[in-house]
Amino acid sequence: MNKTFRYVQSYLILGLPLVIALMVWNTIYTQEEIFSHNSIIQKILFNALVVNIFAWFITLIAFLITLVACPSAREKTLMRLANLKERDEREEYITGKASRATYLSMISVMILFLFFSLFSVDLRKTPKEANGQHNLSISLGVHFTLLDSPTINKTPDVLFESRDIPLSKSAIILFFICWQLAVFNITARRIKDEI
Amino acid sequence: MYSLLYIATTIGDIMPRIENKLTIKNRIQELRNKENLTQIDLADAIGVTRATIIAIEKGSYNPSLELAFRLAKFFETDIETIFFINRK
Repeated sequence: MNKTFRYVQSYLILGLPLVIALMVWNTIYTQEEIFSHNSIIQKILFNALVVNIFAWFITLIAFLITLVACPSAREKTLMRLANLKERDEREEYITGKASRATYLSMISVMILFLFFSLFSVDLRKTPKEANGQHNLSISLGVHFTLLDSPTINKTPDVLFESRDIPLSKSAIILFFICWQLAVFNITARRIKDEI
Repeated sequence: MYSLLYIATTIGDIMPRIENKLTIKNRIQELRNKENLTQIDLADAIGVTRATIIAIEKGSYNPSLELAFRLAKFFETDIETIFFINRK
């Protein structure tokens, strides 16, 4: 598993320039322009890059799912990305304190964002009354939807199309708050049982 | 009720008070210099980073019991010889 994971990581890193190269090439020239060219090497190269991009995309999906599902894989990969150094007890202590502060800060920011996504404020001028004066009205509203269907133009020839996460902003923020609270508490309980 | 309060305050006066936060000092730098060791040498010997040795010597970080025992074992002395409470 470790060796496979390392190979997958290396492929994702080394394959990225080829993915970018194909994207840039396809931006400058359309597929018809590339295939109308007489060069066989160019056509073979283009096809190879297309195969690579699909393989890379599928590998990336599998890698991201593994990161979420597998704690050991997550630790190995994300510790380097997050610059987490735990070479001795002092660095573990620092990581613990910093993680705690980050966790609480993230929860507070997400609660703030959730508030703004749920509540609406409306201040408007009401029509002139009989005395000829405008009055102001302020209204507060609460609005929550779970799903937010993205705009997909479905034509008969499209069999499947996926775009964006189908959850609303409020639902995503609420999900992240619940996820953070759940993971923290479950992990803390597990550590408590070990000690 | 008044008598209970009186008993509680009296017990509080009899029992020795232990401060919640102790200022712990150490003689690590002194012991290290005696052995002609650099901070890196000591750090490698006990399995920590040089930054940890610096922090312990400065007093900004108190080591765990395990690390304190490792230091004592390394310097072939007791923990109490290395670490002491700073009484003002």
